[in-house]
Amino acid sequence: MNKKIIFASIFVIGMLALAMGYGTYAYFSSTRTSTGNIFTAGTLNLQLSNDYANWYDGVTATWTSPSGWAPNASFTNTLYLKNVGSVDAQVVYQDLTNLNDLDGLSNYIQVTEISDSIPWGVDPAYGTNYVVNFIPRCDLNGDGKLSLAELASWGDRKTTSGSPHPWDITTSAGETLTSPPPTLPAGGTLGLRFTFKLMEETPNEMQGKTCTIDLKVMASQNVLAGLP
Amino acid sequence: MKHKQIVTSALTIMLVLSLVMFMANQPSASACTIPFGKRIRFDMELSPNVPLFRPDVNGCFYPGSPKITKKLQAVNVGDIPFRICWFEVTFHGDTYLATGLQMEILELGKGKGEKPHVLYNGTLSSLSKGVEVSGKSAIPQGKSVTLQIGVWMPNTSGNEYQGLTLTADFAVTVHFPPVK
Repeated sequence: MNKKIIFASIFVIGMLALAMGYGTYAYFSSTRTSTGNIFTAGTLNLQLSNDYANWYDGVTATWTSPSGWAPNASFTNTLYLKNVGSVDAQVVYQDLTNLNDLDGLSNYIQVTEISDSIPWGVDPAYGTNYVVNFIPRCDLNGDGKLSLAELASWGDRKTTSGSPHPWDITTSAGETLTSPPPTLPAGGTLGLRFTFKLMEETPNEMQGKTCTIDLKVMASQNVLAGLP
Repeated sequence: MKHKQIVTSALTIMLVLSLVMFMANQPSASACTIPFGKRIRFDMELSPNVPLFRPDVNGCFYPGSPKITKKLQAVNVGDIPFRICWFEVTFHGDTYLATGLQMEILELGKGKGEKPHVLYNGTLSSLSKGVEVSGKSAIPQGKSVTLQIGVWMPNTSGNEYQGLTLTADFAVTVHFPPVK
C-alpha cells in the first residue's frame, strides 16, 4: 500500500516537473512580417452597344428588318462589343437562341454575312465573312445558302464530348490563340456584323410574318474546354 | 505517520522544483549580472521593408497568369545562428481570393548551381493557419537567407475570383537552435 502511494507521488511530481519544464525549455525564436502585400484578380467584363456610343450589359433590336422588306432585299447592322475588364479575351463565342418563329419565316431569311471587325473601331475594315465556314456544317437542305433557321439550329445539333454545346467560335478557325493580338483585348472593342437577306423564293404567305431571335455573345480569356 | 512523511517529501520536492523553474524562466535581467556571461541577442530582420506584391506594379492575377516572383531576405542581426521554421499569412479584404492563388516559397542556395530548397508549395489560404517549414541552412550572425516567393493563379480558377482584392501580411519566423 505504502509503495503504491510512493509511486503515485513520484509520478505526480514527475508530471508536474515535465509540465513546468515544457514552458521553460522553449526555443529562441524571432518573427518579422512583410506587410501590405496586395493581390488583385483581374476582370473580364463584356458590354454591348448598337451605336458604339452607349454601352450596356445587353441591347435590343440590333437587327430590325426595314419596313417593306421584300424578297431579294438585304439589311446590315453591327453589334459592338467592348471589353471593359482588365483581362484580354482571346476568343469570342456566339449563340443564336430563343428563335420565335411560328410561321417558318426564318427558313427564308438568308444569312449572307457574319464578320468581325479588324481592327477594332467604330468604322472597322471588316474581315473574313464566316458564312462560308458555316455552310458546310449548317446547310441542312443543301441549297448552298445559310438560312437563319439553319444557323439557329446549329447550336442544338453540334455536340462536344457527348453533350450539346450552343457556343460557336466567331473568329477564323485555326487562329493561334497564344499569339497577340487577342480577339478582344482589355479596353478594346469588336464589331460583329450580320447581313440578312429575304430569299428570292420567299412565298406570298410569308407576307407580314414576323420572327425574333436572340444573339448571345461570350468573351472568354481562353478557349473553353470542349470547344474548337 | 508514514503518509504525512510522504506528503511532506512530495511537497518539499515540488517547492524546490518550482523555485528552480521559476528562476530559470526569468528574462535575462539576472544573466546580465553574471560576470562571465553576455546577453545573447536573437533577432532577424526582413528586407526589403516594403510590400512585395502590388497590382499597380505587377498587374492583376487571372487564370493561367504568369507566376509573379519576389525575393525577400531574412537577415541575421543577432548573435547566434537561426533557421527558418514557420510561415504565416494574415489576410484582409476579399479573403476568398486566397483560395484561388498558389504560392511557392523557395530558400535560395548561396553557392553556384545549388538547387533552391522548397519550403512551401500550396494555396495561399493554407498559410492562414501557419505552416511549419524546415529551413535548409543555418544562417550565421551577419548573414542572410534569400526567400523567393512566387504567386500565381492556376488556370483551373474560375469567374468567382474576378475583381477580388486582398491584402496579406506575410510573417516569417526563425528559431534557435539552428540544428535540424
